[in-house]
Amino acid sequence: MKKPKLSYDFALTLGAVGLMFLLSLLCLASTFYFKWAGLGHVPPVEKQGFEELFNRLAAPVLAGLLLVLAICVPKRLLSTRGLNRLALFLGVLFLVGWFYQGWRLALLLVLIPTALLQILTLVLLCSGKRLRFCYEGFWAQLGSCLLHLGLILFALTVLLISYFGFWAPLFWTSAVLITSGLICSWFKG
Amino acid sequence: MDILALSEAQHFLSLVGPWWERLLVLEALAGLILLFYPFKDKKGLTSLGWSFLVVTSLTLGLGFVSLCYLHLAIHHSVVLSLPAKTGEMLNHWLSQWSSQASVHLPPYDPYHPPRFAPPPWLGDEKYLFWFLGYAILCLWAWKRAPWGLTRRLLLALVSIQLALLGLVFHPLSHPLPGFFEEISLWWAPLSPAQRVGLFLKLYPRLLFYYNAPYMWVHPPLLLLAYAALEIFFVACVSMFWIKDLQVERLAYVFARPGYFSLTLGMLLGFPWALEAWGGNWWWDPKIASSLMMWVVFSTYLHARLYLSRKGMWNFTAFLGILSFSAMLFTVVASYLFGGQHTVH
Repeated sequence: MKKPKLSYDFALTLGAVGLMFLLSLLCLASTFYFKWAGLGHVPPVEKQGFEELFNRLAAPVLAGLLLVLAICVPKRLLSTRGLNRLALFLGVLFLVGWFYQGWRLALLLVLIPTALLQILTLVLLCSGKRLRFCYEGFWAQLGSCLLHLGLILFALTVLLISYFGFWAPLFWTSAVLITSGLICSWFKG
Repeated sequence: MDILALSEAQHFLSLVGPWWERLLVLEALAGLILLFYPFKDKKGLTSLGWSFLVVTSLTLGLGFVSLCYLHLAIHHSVVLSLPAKTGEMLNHWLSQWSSQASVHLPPYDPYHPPRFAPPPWLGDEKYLFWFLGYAILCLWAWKRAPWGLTRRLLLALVSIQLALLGLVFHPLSHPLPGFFEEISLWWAPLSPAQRVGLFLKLYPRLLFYYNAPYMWVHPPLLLLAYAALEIFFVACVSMFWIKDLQVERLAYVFARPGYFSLTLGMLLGFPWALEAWGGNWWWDPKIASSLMMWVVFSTYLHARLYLSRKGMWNFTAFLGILSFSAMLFTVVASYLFGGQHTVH
């Protein structure tokens, strides 16, 4: 088993683990709230308040995860100082979006640059540039890139679905990316 | 309508089902004896445990084949056919309704009337499919897990599942109670208006649930993920007592297909949910708990990257156990919390 080289990487991973744990607690809380509020047999309109509440609660956690991802992805391209500045910039962007028009715009403002950075990483990796990853092997690295890009696109699909009915191409692209990412990183890596 | 094939299949299951379920209970008892029997050497548990798993897999496999027979009979027999004039009336009405509604129902084809084709993991049948998957995966895990504790834990879960199938779920002796209750009226003497009314109740259920293409991929992928997660759980529990990289490797070997199957299964549920329910389901208890399971599972995979760091061995094992607990919670959520996936 390889010893980790960068404590920065380890800290990021722990941050991601903590945020994911928080998200899972939120999911758990929502199931109990659903039962407690007796929302099982009410018309969809009456559930809107409950959904909006949990969307609002989940948005900062999701944004935190995206920020960690936004740092994780370009760490293969930028220095530590550059990464911190980027994270700060995205954090400010999220807050501005939130105050200006709520959590939907805030998440969108973080998701789009994160997706672009991930695409850039993917292109650089495929063009043969040597990037810094936690693990070795082209297929494992490609798998990680595809998987994370797929997850970002899936989050975009969920976010945009209420604005555009044209969700299918984005969703199926994300599904193909996630599936091929999992195959590359585990079954070829 | 030829319901003879269906009656024969139901008669066959009513004869075979109770005996098959009693056999499962006996096998569960045999598993318990194996579990607590103080074998003097490793060979006893290895060979007897292996034989037990082979017999169990075969028993469950035969049960599953019997269920497939019933489902073939349903496909052959349960057809929503209407008299020609009623069909024309219905199509006229459907064309008017479709122009106003957001959900589109295809017109009735008198030459190919809608025919039920439910997959063999409906209702409590899903437990048979899931536990069969687990028994088969156990055969694969048995050779990779040379430790007594891990093997005994694998056997313990098999025994619990056999007892649940034989004593609680009864997938063969009482197959598909919900489905048969739903369609039973179709064979009753009804007026044309009543038949059209019933048709309009059953037709969307047939299209969006029983015969939905997603029904053939979304549930089995999740059930296979659950089966892999169980072996992953056994390995994670073992990690607290066996500080051997091989046991961690065993956990990861089963975590990989489990996570793959879970992710793909959940993804394929997304377009199906949009098609069948529209957009108002994101925080539904079953979906939120599935998401929780997936997130905890992802947490394990991230933490595992730093396994060699101090304290991470036990932490990853703990996350593995937490993933399994989240899976159990997800299964129970359908019964306790209501919502779109509710069982009752």
